[in-house]
Formats: sequence, C-alpha cells, structure tokens
Amino acid sequence: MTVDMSQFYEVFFDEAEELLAEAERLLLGIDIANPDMEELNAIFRAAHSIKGGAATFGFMDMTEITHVLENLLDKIRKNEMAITAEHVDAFLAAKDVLKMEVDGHRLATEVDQDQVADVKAKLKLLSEAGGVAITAAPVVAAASTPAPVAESAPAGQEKVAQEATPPASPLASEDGLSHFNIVLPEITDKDVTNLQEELSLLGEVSSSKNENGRYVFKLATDSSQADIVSICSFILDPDDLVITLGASSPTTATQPVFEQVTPEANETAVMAEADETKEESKPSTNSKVVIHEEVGYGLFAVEGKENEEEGYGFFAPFKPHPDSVKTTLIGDDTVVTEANSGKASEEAKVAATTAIPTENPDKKNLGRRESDKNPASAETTSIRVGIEKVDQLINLVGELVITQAMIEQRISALDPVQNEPLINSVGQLTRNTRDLQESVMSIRMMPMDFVFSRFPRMVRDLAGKLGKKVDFVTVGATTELDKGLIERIVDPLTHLVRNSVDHGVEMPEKRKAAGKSETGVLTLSAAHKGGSIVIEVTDDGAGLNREKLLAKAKANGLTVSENMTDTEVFSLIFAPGFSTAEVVTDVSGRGVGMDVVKRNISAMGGVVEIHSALGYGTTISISLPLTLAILDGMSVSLGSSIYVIPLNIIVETLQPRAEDIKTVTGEGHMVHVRGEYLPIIALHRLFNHPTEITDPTQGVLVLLESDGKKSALFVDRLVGQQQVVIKSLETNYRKIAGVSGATIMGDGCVALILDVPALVQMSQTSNYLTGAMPFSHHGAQSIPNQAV
Amino acid sequence: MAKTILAVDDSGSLRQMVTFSLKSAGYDVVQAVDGQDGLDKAKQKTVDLVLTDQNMPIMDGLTLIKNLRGLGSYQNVPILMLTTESSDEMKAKGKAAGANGWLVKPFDPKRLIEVVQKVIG
Repeated sequence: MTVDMSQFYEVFFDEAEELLAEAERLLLGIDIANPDMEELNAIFRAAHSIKGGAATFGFMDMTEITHVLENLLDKIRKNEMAITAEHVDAFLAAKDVLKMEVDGHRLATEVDQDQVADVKAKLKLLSEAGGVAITAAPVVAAASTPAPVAESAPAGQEKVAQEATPPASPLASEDGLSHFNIVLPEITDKDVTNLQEELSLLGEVSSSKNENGRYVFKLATDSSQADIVSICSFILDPDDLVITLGASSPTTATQPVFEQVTPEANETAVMAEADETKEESKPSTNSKVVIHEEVGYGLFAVEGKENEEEGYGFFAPFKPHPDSVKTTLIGDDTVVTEANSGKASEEAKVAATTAIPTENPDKKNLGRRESDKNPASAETTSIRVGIEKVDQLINLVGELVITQAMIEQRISALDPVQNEPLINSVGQLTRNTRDLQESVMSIRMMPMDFVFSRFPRMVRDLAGKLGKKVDFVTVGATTELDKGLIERIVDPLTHLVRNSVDHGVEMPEKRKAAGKSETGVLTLSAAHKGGSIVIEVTDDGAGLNREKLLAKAKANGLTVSENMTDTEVFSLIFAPGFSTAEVVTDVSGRGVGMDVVKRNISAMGGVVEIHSALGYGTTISISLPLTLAILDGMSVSLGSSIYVIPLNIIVETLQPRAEDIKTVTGEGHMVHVRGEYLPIIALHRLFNHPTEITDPTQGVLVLLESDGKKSALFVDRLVGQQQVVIKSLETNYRKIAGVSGATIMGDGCVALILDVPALVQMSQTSNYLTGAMPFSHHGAQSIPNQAV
Repeated sequence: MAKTILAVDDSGSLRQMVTFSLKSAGYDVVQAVDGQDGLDKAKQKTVDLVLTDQNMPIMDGLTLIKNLRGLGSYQNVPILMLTTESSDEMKAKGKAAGANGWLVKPFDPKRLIEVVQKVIG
C-alpha cells in the first residue's frame, strides 16, 4: 500500500507554524530567573513535535535544527542547565530559521543557509558549553572496560555495543576530535548516502566496507556519541549500530572492533548474554536484556531481532491472554510448543485476534456513534475555503440586502390591512436577511490577535537593540475585524509600535531620573466602539513636545502658528518628511512612515488621533470601520439627490438660528455652536448642485469631526439612517473628489457616499471660499447625479 | 467487522497520517489529541489496539498506558508506543507501564500497517 505523504504536508506546515508561534509566545514570556517547568515542557514539546513531523514527512533540514534545539531544551528542562537570556535569544533565532524553512518548503521562498548554519552552531555551542559538567558524569559511569564490550559484542550486533561506551577522553586524538567507527546494519544504499550526509554535519565522514559487506563510517568530530546516535536515529534504529571510538590513525580505524555474527548465531548469543548479565549483574544495564530475563524465554530475541531492524519491537509477543490461548488451541488444533518458535508471531497474532473483546454489538455500535459525534481533532471543526468564495458570498448577500430593501419600499405603498400577510412575511424576510448578512460578514472576521501576535517579538528585539526596557501589553486581542482590514493594518501598526519604542519610551536612566519605573509600558489595545473598531498604541514615555514640534515644523517650512491646538500640533507629525528625532536611528526616525501611516489608514476609511502629555506618554488611536463592505450611514438629500454620510464621523445635526450664522471675510460662513465657531461647508456649492435651499437656516447642518477638526456640512434635509452596501465608484465609473463610493438605495437609486475629509479639504482650497460664485460652473467639480 | 484502533498523538499531521494509513488498510480509527482524551475515548469504546505517542500535553503516553491497564476492559488490549525515543530506558519504562511494544518515529505508513497487522491481523 502506498500513501501519498504530500497530502499531509499542509497540515504539518500549519501545525508547525502554530507550534512555532506558541513556542515564541512562551519564550517571550519566560522568566529567566524562575522559569516555569510547564512552560519549558511545552516549548520542548513544540520542538519535539515539529521534529517528529518533519522526520516523518521528510523535511530533514527542519529535523536537524529541531533536533539540536530539542537536545538543549531537554537539558534545561531536566535542570542540567540553567536557562539564560542567551538561550532564549538562540531559541528565538531557531524559531525564525524554522519558520523560514517552513516557508521554504511551503511557498518555495528562499532559505538563508548561512543563517541556518549560524543558528545550528550557536545552539550546539550552548548545548555543549553548559552541559559538559553535568553530562560528563553519566557518560563515564556508563562506560565499561573494552574487554566486556568485546565479549558482549556478538549479541551486541542487535544493540548492545553502542551501550558500552569506551571512555571518551583517552582516545580523543590530538586534533581534539574523537574518531568514531560506525558499523551500519544492512540498509539500502540510499539510506547509507543519507546517513553519510547527515553525519557530515558533525564532522568529516569517510565510508568503506568491512569484510562482511557492511558499511563502516569513520567520523572525526567534536560531537558526542549521543549526537551520532541521535542523528542516525532518523534513518535507522540506533540500536542496530555498532559505534566505537577509534584511534585517529586510519589504519586501525578500518578494523572493525566487533566481530560480525551470522544471524544463526543470535539465539545462543542472546542466551549467553542473558546469562552473563545475570552472573555479573552489570550495573550498566542493557534494559533489553533485562526484558529478556523478565519474560523468561527467548522469543523476544527472535521476534525482536527481526523487528529491531525495522525500528519497532514487542516486549513479548503481547502476552496472549489465557482465554484466548485456549481458544487458539482448540480452534486451531495447533500445539503451541515453545514460545520462541518461529510460529510465535503467528500464534500471537491469532491470540490477539481472538482476544479482541467481542462485546455486545449494540454497545459497540453505540460507542462508535458517540465517538463520531465527538470528533477529537481541531481540524474536523473547521474547513478551508478560498477567500474568493467568501467574497462572492458577501457580494451576493449585498445584492440580496438591496433587493430586500426594494421590496420593503414597494410594500410600504400597499394597503396594510389588505396586505397584512404579505407585510408580515416581508418583515420576516427582513430579519432573516439581516441575520444572514451578519453571519456572512462574520466569516471574514478575524481576531486582532492575528496582528498583535507579531509584536511581542518585535518589541523585544527593538528594545534589546536600543538598550531600553519595555513591557509589552496587549488588550482586546480577541476583537474581530474584517480580514481585508486586518491585513492592511499590519504595516501602519508596525510603524506606530516601532515609533513608540524608539521615540516614545525613554532610556532606563532617563526614566529613572524622571521618577518613573525603568521599564516602560507599551500597550496595544483593540476594542469595539459603536460601529467601528478602535486600535490604540499607548506608551508611558516622554510624550510629544509641542514646542519642539512647532520649531521643527517652522524649520520644515510648514505654516504653523502658536495658536494651534495641541491636536493640530500633534497632527504635524503626519506631515510628509517630518521627524523630530535628533538622531536618526536604524529603527525609525527617517521621517518616512507617519505620513504613510496616516495615508494608509485614511484609505481604509479610518481616522488617526493623537493624545499626548509631555512626560507622561502618548496614545495614538486608530478608528476603523468594522468592514469595508457595509457602512452605517446617514442619508441626506440635496436637491433631487441623496448622499450618504458615514455615521461614525457625525457629531450632531442641527437647524441653526439666523443669529448663529456669521460671515467671516475670506473664510466664508461660520456657525456658532456652544461657544465654538465652525466653518459651514455648503454641499450644493461644493458639488455645484442645484437646490432650492441655499439659506442654512432653511436646511440642516450636519456637524462632522474628522482629523480632529470640526466642520458643519450644510444639506437640504435628513432622510434617514441605514446600513448601506458599499459599491466602488472607481471600479465602475471613475474616481471623483469628495466621494468615496456609491450605494444602491431601496428604491433602486444610486446614492453617493461622501468622503468627508476630502470635502473639508476641498472647501479650504477651492475658490468656493470666496463665496463669490454660487452655482458657477467652474471651481468645484461637477458630478453626475447618478453615476453608476 | 473492521477492527478499531485508538490513535493518540498531539500532532495533528501525524494523527492524520496514521489515521489515513490505517483507514486505507481497512481499520476503523478513533483519534485522540492527548493522553486524557485518549483515556476518555478508550472508555467510551473498547478498541482493539491502542497506538500512543509518548510526549504529549496534559497526560503523556506512559501515564495513559498505566491508566488503561488499570481499566478492566483494557487488561489485554495490545498497546504500542509510537516514540522518537528508542532508548532502552524508554523501552523499559514502556514495558513497565504495560505497553506491548514500540514503533520508532519516524515511520512510514507501510511500516505502521505492517506492525499493526502483526499485532491484530
């Protein structure tokens, strides 16, 4: 039977990535002074699992790294070595390399072999450096004199020889390397080649054949015998190996130390060895021999011999239980003579077969049904679906929502008494549609943790590089956001977090001098607020310096005044090419970034705000719509057209009194609202749109807040608040200033969605401000009423 | 009726590989993700063979074997350890816990089936 292993690769890659991420998380949280045993075990297990999988699926490069990693971790978890910051660094580096290798296999991306070699060397060095003192003792203890080794060698053909390690030091040659002779069991030439390749990682390998036709490797290495055994264990059962330490001289090395025995000699050999063991009661036990003794017969040897080479074995021919043996005897009419006869395995097979509990079949079936209902593995609870399928689903639901709104509108014109059943049914349809829409939208939602999880490592590395101490805290990592937004928020957030570590958090001395704890706290949080998600990057660092910002802005030729509000001043850092960092570090401070951050977030329909207090820290908050597909909007009318304003930027709406409207020369009209003077943006003038209402007191002012600035949008009247499905105007028509998209209303009309920040900008730059040319056909851009 | 094998491993890919291989050889497979899960599943239905990994969270393989042997219904059910550690020490521990044998990881599906067939036919 052949099984195509490649079908399991994806699962393995996913699993490996998960394990790596988990290991990284644990490593970042580890308390070096007082490491948690459970956590160390979990990290070890991660390395161990990856190694197992990698070996099974044939990713040898990953096996190698995880192998060294596992060894080192094993020493640490067994308390043979204390964990140090250096270890953690090396483990993290190993994680990176493994991730690179996973990507290499999965996505065929480039794997930096130098980096791999560096990490491997580093791990090995650490493993040897700390471990010598403790590990040396058992090695010496296990070693016995060469004579008994030679004696037990025939039996050792199975496994024993390697057990009896000759003392290592005396034989280590002048070059400081140990010279091992490794006699291989009968394996395929391919395995020999593989093994030679693997071993060449430890040192110089040469191969030859001995007189019995077995391959003999000579290996000059500074690694221990255990390392050799571990490496070999991926290709064959190390118990089949005969490893001896030889002198460095190649002539003596070619001579195999142990005599090879013919298979026929085995049985007696085992018996002899068992006897010998009993008599001498050697302290360096070969537990296999002990097993023979316990079992009390030689079957293990026969069965074991055969199986050992295959890399498995049975402790006994899984003791047939008394009943079943009887059954076998009666049913088969076979006389079981000796347990170690050649028939033993067959016998055992029969025994085991009959030993299967034949319970009440109903009960069995019940059991199976239950277990079917209880799928064990996580993979059975989720399925993989292409993102385009989900997007298509969302699109279709969007259409459905529009159609549904149309039906609702038509129905409202009908006589409610005559058509009551129909109206009720449509009401039901409305609820169902809304539920459907919500469920479908939630398919694309992903937890913020997807983004947050990459930061602990980054902050740690950055802080280390800069010599700062930073505690990184995340809040609300389970908050969900649309996948498309999640992917696009990564870069801006990375910039912000980098900036906070680099410019926000001060050096430990400086913090101490300021009376703060040496360790800064950087908090990354996400939370739902109304229809949007608010992501905040908060540090308890130096805060933004208003004077410095103003001075810098002046030097950069930006128009600034002393009267600007703090919010306005802080917003200066979003200006292109603006950086107050005195020293440009390689972390940040090149002045690229913040403007890009702002641009990216605006493109996602989001808003960035900065709050800062000098000496206490800075909070940068990003507010994003939950999804790009649906918008909570306020529809307003202007002449015969409907426009939609995103609800999240509306502060309030009001009908102004005549005395609150002021005219300011050069700045158009202002409205006085609770002590504030806000500029009035007349939409009909901006869009050059005919309407009967040109006096603000006759229409409605919608107060909007964007980029920390308030303004009042003057429209005819409010129509209503509703969710709209966003359709891109750009893909269907062309980009239009002041409009971010379009939607189809319930009556089938197309309404344009206003791009408020752009409107504010337009109102400031166009000759609209002069107020001289209402309804003129130049200046403001004219747009068609129904664009799509 | 097809025999049922309980496969206990915390690694999903390994578990899938084992399950797939055993199913293609005509066995029914119950999967468990750690020792505790294995024990629970084993109690729900007495299987014909248990294959268990050693190194797992919550409950390791040796503990699982000991627990299973403590159950009346598992006195005589064959249990094999699937382990990367093929040291004699590990084998002795496995034997002491009540395992009937071991299979060294990594193994290929062919080898797995071969061993399983040797045990339960």
